[in-house]
Amino acid sequence: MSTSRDEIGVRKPDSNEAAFLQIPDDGRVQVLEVNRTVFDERDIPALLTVIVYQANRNRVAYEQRIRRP
Amino acid sequence: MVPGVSDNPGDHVDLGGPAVRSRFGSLVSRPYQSVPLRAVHKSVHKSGPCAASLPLFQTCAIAQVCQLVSLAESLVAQSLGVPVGWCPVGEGNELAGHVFISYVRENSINVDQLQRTLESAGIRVWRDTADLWPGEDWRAKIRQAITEDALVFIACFSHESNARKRSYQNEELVLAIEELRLRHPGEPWLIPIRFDDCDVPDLDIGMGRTLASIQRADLFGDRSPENAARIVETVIRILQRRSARISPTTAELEPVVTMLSGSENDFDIEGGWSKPESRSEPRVEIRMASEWLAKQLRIDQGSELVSRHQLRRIDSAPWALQTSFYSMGFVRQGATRLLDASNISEGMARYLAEHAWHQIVHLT
Repeated sequence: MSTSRDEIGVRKPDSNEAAFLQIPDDGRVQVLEVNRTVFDERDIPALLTVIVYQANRNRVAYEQRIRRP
Repeated sequence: MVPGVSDNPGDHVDLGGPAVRSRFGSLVSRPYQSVPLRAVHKSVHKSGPCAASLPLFQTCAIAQVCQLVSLAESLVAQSLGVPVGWCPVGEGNELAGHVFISYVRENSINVDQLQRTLESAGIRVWRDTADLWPGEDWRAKIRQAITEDALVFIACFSHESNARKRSYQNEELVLAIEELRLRHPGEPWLIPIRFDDCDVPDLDIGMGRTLASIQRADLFGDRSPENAARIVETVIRILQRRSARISPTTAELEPVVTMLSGSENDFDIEGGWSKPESRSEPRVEIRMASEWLAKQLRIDQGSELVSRHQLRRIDSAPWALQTSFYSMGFVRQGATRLLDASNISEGMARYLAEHAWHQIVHLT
């Protein structure tokens, strides 16, 4: 059983990101950065995935199962 | 701001010399006299180019600047097939980028000419002589100018530059090649230029390419004017693409909703969209863990990591940039396909589970 942890932030794109996403690189359009760290069974980080989205075109959502008390 | 007029103190613009004969070449080759731009710029900004109250020399200078800019605009418009008056860095549309020129001081005169040509077409130029100020951390400034703000990096070569065993240009080239390796191979960014028939240094730029393998432009000999025009066109096309990206329609599109809670069977981040998603083949690199990566993965700074970088598109439109970092421990435990520049079709979680996931003892 492994777990993952997401960190989400918003920032100005760098020039490489701006070029690919086709947005200006001066920060008028921000990017959403999701850092997903996956942990192994002993809770040691095994890998990290960084995904960068155009902030004004993306929404992130979570779903959580809630058990009846 | 008048297109083509730099705001940098000490900058000068070409105001004299014989009439321009054809395209950009004559802007490069003719003799010139120069007038400091700051006074001209301020006057234009405050009063407009036809203000009768301006001193005569300023009015004349402004007229000549406007004439020159107008000519450059028409040449750019002709070559790009856009309306005259279109400007890559037009009003309210200022872009943060510039062209970084890397050179040795022996070629300053050639670089002055190249700078005037670019600025005449409305392109901002970054040079150490104008953009570094006393007391500034020049290494940090140059790094920022290259890696964060440069639309294009122009590397100038000559017999003089090749003869120099030590130069700041070498340091700039190292930074530029690092940056180039991070960029999409299809996006032109580094342009080698020769001021004479010297060799372009055969520096490794990754993926089996060398600096000498990049299409260069020769600014000497009969084709110098034509090549100067091509440099300007290349830079403006990059600006043009970026300018088009500011279209308000971009923000009006329906947002993509990404479900981060995802599947219990994989740790990949997928979306719930109906249109087809595609991913580029991964660009795979062995990297040393930076301070930030080391902290995230709780490993020592400088430890080896595999990075797999992909560009993700939805319905062919750019959507996200994804980079995953894996400990080299996975590779040592048998997950060698992490090093292949190809997608792992069965899913990364399944692949790692079958090959290494349960065998990793320590990640470093």
